Amino acid sequence: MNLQLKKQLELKYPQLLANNFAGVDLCFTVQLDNLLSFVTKLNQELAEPRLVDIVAAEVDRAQSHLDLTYLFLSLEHQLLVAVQTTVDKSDVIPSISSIWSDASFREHEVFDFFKLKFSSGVMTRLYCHHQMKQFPMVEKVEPFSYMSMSDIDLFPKLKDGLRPEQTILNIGPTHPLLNCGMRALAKVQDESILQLEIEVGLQHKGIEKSASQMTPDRLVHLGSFMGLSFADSLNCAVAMCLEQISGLKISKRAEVIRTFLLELERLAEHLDSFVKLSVLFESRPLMAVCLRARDYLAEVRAKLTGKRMSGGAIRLGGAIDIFKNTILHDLFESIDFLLKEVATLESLFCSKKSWRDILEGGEISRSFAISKSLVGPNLRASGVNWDWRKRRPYYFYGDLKFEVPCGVEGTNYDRYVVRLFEMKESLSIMQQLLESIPSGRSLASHSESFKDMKKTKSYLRIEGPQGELGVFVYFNAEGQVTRCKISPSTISSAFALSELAPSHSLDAFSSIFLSLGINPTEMDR
Amino acid sequence: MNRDNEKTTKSKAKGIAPRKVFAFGYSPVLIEIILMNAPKYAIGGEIFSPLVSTPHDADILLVLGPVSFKMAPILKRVYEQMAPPKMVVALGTRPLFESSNLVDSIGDIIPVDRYFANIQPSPLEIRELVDLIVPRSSK
Repeated sequence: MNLQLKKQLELKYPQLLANNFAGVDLCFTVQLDNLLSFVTKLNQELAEPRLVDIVAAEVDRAQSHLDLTYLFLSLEHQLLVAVQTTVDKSDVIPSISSIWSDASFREHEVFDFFKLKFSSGVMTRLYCHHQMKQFPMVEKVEPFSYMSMSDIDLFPKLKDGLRPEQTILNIGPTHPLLNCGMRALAKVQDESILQLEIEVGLQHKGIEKSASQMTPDRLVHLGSFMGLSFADSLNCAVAMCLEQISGLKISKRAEVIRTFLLELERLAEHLDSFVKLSVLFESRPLMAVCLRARDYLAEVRAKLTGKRMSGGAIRLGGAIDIFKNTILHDLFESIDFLLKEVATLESLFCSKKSWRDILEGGEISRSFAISKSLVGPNLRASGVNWDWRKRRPYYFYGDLKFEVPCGVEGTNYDRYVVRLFEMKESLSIMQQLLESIPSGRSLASHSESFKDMKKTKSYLRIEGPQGELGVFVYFNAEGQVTRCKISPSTISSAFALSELAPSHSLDAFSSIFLSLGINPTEMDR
Repeated sequence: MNRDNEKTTKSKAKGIAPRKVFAFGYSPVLIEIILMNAPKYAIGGEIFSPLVSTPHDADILLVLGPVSFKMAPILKRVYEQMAPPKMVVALGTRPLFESSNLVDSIGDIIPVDRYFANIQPSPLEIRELVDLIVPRSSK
């Protein structure tokens, strides 16, 4: 963290400083009229920070005011800066999409849920059905039965200047590759993609609305409710966010258990991406190795937590003691077996030139990755060494020995290699954790920890399998949750795809899509 | 179960044609279905061609996880594209929380043969579910 710049900013805007936000380095409160000018100034001082998210929340059900927060992250100075403002429901908010190009879909998201209009142009629905009349976060949604599919007419940009030799091709959502979660519409000429539009929200569950009325105890199971393939990471992020604002401390044993579960999940998620790759290209040897390793891993997880895929072991104030009834010797053996499997995978994947040829293309330059706010392995494959486990170590990550693999060119192949080496690092982290498991209890009591809190907002991010996974939780004066927002890790990659796929052939679309590791369940919430 | 299906289940059981599955809905279960072809789970050398890429080729439609309003018309279209006999198995389609954007029961959209609450079945469990609908041939 650049402490000098932090102090400099504090001295420069003393009257704007606010201290109601836990988990960010600096928080400013500005008037709506000054928002755009302040954000522009901040953009220069923080050396072009990345827009993490835009969060709207209802301050009071009875009033017509809304709370709007912008969160920025400066990769260069390692500073998290929040800018908050209060807006009226009828206000038109100045759009920042001229400065941050990826702000556009985040503004549409705010409109979709809160009916807040931005000055960037015509606002359309993003997650909800295009025929839905209500705005779910501020109005009561009536039960309805829409049976019409969204049409090409919803993407007017595609039809502009359509020549007779060009066609509009629909990809998904039941295409096996897209896993029933995303729809892409491509303008195609011969074999090449000219333009690509993406429709999200097909897996939209509206969980944020439900989560805004949940108790903290129930909120910790958010990932499991969503049926997410990396539920543990989200559960852990929510638990950490709640513990941060309430000052609840968890035992060392619980920290080890959580770290172990997170690394298991990272391993499983990366193995899944290799399974999908092998299925796509019909590579039997790779498929055999990946499926064997994944099945073995699922059984290890079933032994520890009782579930093959997403665990339910994380609780508020700690975790269920998964090491209590397991023989540690067996776990060491399992990790050795998995290490061998990953070594086989590496020899199959890295040594053969064919994979390098198949997965060429899809280059993401360093500047493009930062400007599109890509996260996790996708960002690291483009040569940006950014990992929250190293930058702001939580739990045991500060003491553990591990490396952050980085790519050079940012091609599809690079992204897979980064994932492959991350699997190895995960296994080595697990080995180190098992060598020193502290004794003691793993669950702490948390009764009365959500009373008399000094701060009302909390933000926390962890390094999930696909990158930065953030959670915002807002409280009211009585200590009840009023808003819970998940900042998903893969949504930025999905929108980056629409700029990445043009200039490639239709053939390359599938490999680019897979290598970005887009997870529709997480993306749509 | 549909009347149409009752006639054909017996002939399906005797036939050697593999029981093909079209999976609908994003879920980590997809990889468990791929796993069913692994030697560990393919007991007796029976062919169980797990996933097909078009609904027209499929005998069984597996609906995994809850269905959103945006997805409901697409689910109906997929069902219409299947060739008879059509069999539908719903796995964990009932939402686990009160939601404003999920279909309560997919039975309102398409006829469903069996419902199962478990959203995370293991490969052997999926196999058993399919066996309930299309019994294995007794040689």
